[in-house]
Formats: sequence, C-alpha cells, structure tokens
Amino acid sequence: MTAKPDADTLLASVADFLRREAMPRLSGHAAFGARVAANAIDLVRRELAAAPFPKGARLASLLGHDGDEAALERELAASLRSGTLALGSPGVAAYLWDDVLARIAIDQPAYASREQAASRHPSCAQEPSE
Amino acid sequence: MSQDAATDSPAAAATVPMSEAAVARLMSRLLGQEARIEGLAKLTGGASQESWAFRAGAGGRERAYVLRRAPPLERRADYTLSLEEQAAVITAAASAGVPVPDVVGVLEPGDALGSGFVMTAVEGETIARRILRDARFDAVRPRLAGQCGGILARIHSVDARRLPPLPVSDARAQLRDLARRYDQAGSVRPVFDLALRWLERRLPAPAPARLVHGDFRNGNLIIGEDGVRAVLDWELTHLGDPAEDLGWLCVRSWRFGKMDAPAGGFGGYADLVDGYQAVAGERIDLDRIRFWEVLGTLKWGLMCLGMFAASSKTGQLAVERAMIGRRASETELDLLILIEEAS
Repeated sequence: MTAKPDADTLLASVADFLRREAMPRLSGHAAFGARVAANAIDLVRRELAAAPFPKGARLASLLGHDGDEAALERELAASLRSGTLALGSPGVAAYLWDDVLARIAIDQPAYASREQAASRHPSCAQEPSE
Repeated sequence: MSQDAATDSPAAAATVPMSEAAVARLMSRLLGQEARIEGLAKLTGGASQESWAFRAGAGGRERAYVLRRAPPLERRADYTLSLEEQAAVITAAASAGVPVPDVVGVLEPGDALGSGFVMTAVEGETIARRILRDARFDAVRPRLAGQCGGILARIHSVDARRLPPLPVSDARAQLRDLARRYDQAGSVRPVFDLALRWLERRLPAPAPARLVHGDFRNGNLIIGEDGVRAVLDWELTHLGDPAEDLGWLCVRSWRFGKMDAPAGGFGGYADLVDGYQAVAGERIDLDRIRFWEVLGTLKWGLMCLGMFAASSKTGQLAVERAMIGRRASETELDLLILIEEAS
C-alpha cells in the first residue's frame, strides 16, 4: 500500500514550487538552476512511471545465453566494437532502438529526433509508460 | 571614481580582482588616451574564465567592449587555446575576411587583471531558438547556411604562418581520443561501440591540415537581421580536416528541433557546400561531412557522459551537469539514425 500523498504527487509539488514560487524570486544563474532542477524532477517522475525496459531478458535473448545484465551489455558492446555483431545482425537493430527509445522517452520526450525515429519504427513509438 | 563591480564567482574573483579603475587604466593604455569606463558588468563566468561587458569613452567617442579573461597562465586542457592564442587566431581570421570582433589588445601583467584580451562588442543574437523561430530572422534565415559555408572557407584559408603554434588533430587522432575517453568513462553504451566501429571503417583519406575553428555552431555565432556578424569562441581551434567544421555545424543536437535543416537548423547540406565552394573554389565531399557529423555526435555524447564526472570547476551547478549527463541518450538516438541512413 502506497502512502498518500504518493511519491509522484510529492515530486509534482516540488517542481511546481520551484517554477511558481522560487524561480520568479531568483535571478541570473540561480533562476536558471531552479528551472533545471524542476526539469530534473519531471525526469524522475517519468522514470518512476515508466514500465522498466526488460534489458536483461532482451540481452539474453539477443546473445543466446543467460548472464548478469551488466556483463551481457558489456558483451554486446565489445561485439559491436570488434565487428563480431553489426547493425544488420539478427535482432541487433531492434534491441538498440528499443533500448534507446525507452531511455529517450524518460530523458527527453520532446527531442525532435524521437518523432523521426518513431515514424520509421512504429513498433517502438509507444511510451513505455502507456 | 573607483568602484568595485559585483562578482558572483568567488573562485575567480579571489584570484584576480576586477574594478572599473583597473579597466579604465587598461583602456587608457590600449586606446592611447585617457578612457572613462561605464556599466562594467559580468556577462558569463565559470570559475576559470569570465567575460565582462563595459563601455569605454575616450577623446569624445564611446563604444561597447568585451573583456575575456582568466587567472594568470590558466590553461584548462592541452587541446584548448589560451586567451592570448585565441586573440592571435581571431586577428589572423579577421585578415582573411572572417567576421569576428576586433581584438583591441591583450592583457599584460602590469594591467593586474589576469590574462586575456579586449574585443569590440558585436550586437546581435546568439540564442538558437530565437534565430530559428523569431520572425525578425525570417528574411535572413535561408541565407545563413550559405554564409556559414563561405565563412568556413575563409577560416580554412588562413595562412598557418600568421598563426601561433596550434594543436594538430585529424580524424584518426580524434577517433583514438574518443575511444580512450569512452573506455575511461565507465559507462557502457553499445551504440557508442557501434559508432566507433563505423567511424574506424570509414576514416577519410588524410587531408592537408588547415585552420579549423573546432566549435562552429549555433551559440557561437552572433547573428543579426543582415546575417552572421561574428564568429566567437575560438578556444577549440586547431589544425585539421576542414570538413570537421562543416560536420560539427550539422550535428543534430545543434538543429534545435529543425531536423530537416541539417546545417544548424537553418539550411541544407547543399546550401552549406555551395556557399563553401563559392569562396574556396573546392567542393567538400558530402560523405566526408557526414563522417565528421557522426564523429561530432559521438563527441557530444561523450561530453554529456563526462559532464557529471567533471569537477565543479566548470562553474556549472551539479543539477545542470547531471541533466546534461542525461542528454547522452539523445546522441545515441541520433547515431542510430545517422548510421542506419548511411547503411
């Protein structure tokens, strides 16, 4: 059972305080800092609301064996660096797109490249939180 | 007469004081006659470098200036130029027809203001979102990419004999440096590995080294209703492949939402390359520009990753650096788009 007000409500109230109360009373770098801080809280809210990307399971399926998630990711990275795997290898492009699109939906949902990517990869267009 | 201006950067202020009296003595020396100073105000400042705006009057004439300074002998990293070197490069670029502020003079130890230089202030806009969206730039916007091409051709034409000794950095050296930075960053981003491999396989043939600005993009260009008025921030200037500057201008992060206008969000590749050719006489190969665009995207991604690890000496707030760290994912997305387009 989640305590009320829940984490999202608390964070929303802090972001609202920063934008509506603190920022107008600050100037220069401090006002800029308050805006960035409010944006950071919005990002955390998106991250908490998002369905987690099943990175470990996806990597295990892509690489064909189980293992520690971080170790699997290092293995994929090393294979791409050495050329053992390439963007055209089965499953690689789908994994990289899904992983990046899941993170950009949290980090920068308004980033313009996202629209372009979604139009090419309609299966990836959905918000993880939806 | 002496009135100390307010400073909000304790680290820099502690090492080198700033006062209207000291600036008045400096400007009297540089202008060769008694100068009065008004409106001394700090424009930007990290802990190590500052810009100050002021007006100086001498002999019945008055105009606006900018002082860029750092503590004595401050040098941030091996590949960045000192302010004295930047002043020398700006002066050489001006003689090649590059729009730049006039360098009025370089600080000397006797000025007691640190190291740096004074330049004329140039009126105009540097904020990309305004340049790309405000109606007052509608008329000039379609001409900006061509102008940037022409300006880059002039920068690349600067005679190396007029320049101080500069770092030399070609594609191979930069790629090696990026791979090292990524390996030391302690963060695994498979897309960056993909990009490193892609770039290694497509290293362009070596080009004769030219003067490269190194950070030619929105934010470092002063733009007015009549076009590009000045190119700023010559800190990353080096000798290298001229295509680097064209590729960096096209990095998607500098398009500020105008993804269909690769050149800075205001024009196309053809506008940029045509503008370049009109001045340089030579045509830069689009594949070469795209190589540097991918390399530049990876470079910006690694800068984002490194930002949170960077020391607070940059003068940025921890929350600002942390949020820039989260921008690494935008470069991963852009690298996927670029590499897929090129495949």
